[in-house]
Amino acid sequence: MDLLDRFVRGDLEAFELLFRQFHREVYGWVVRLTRDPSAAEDLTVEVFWRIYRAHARFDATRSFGAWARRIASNAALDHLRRARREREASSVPPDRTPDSSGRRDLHLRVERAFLTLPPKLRIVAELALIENWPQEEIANTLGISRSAVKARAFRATKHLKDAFEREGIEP
Amino acid sequence: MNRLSDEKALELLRGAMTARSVDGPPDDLWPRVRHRIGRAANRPPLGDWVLAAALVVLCLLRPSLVGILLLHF
Repeated sequence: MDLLDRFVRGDLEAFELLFRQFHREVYGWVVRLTRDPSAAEDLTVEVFWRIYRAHARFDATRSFGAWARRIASNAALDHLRRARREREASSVPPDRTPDSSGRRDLHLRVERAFLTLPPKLRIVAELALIENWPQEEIANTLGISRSAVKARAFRATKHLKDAFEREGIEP
Repeated sequence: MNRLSDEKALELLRGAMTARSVDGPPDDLWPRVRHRIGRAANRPPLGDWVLAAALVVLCLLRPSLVGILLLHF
């Protein structure tokens, strides 16, 4: 029987083989979306737990990698929402100490502005604005429509420009 | 104050936030995944908890049922 068919039937050995094949990709994807390597190990475990839990719903004729990436995107989104809630609850004012190097200070302010993006916009901004992925590919990976990607990229750009302004970043 | 153009905003963003590329997790995560699956498998299903809660409520409402239920254990 095919590896994916065995996985769909809940075969743990087949699942381990798939884990060995895809865990690096999932881990790397989670780090890219969250920019938080310290949380990536826990998130990768969470992703594979979700994958195993949903084994019976997987269509073995489709790509396991793409499915895993979509589940990882949702887990990353949950993590970003949680982190944002915790940040807001702790209400620690961001460090605004100017750095001795102007360029480094600018980068820090840009990074701070980026962190204020709502999670849904942040993930699209990461892929569309920073990594310059094609909209079609982002839509397929995140499981949303192309027009949703376009709208979120537009809103993210607007949000960033406002946040840059609040950070005192001028043209 | 002049507002940043979209192009300038993107240029700033890309200059400050380089794309992350990583090799893979430093540790073998399979034992943790395996442990998580094992833990979930040993946990009674949600339906069992609901049934138990329903029985407790029923016993509180109709104490006479306790005797009948005890006959089954």
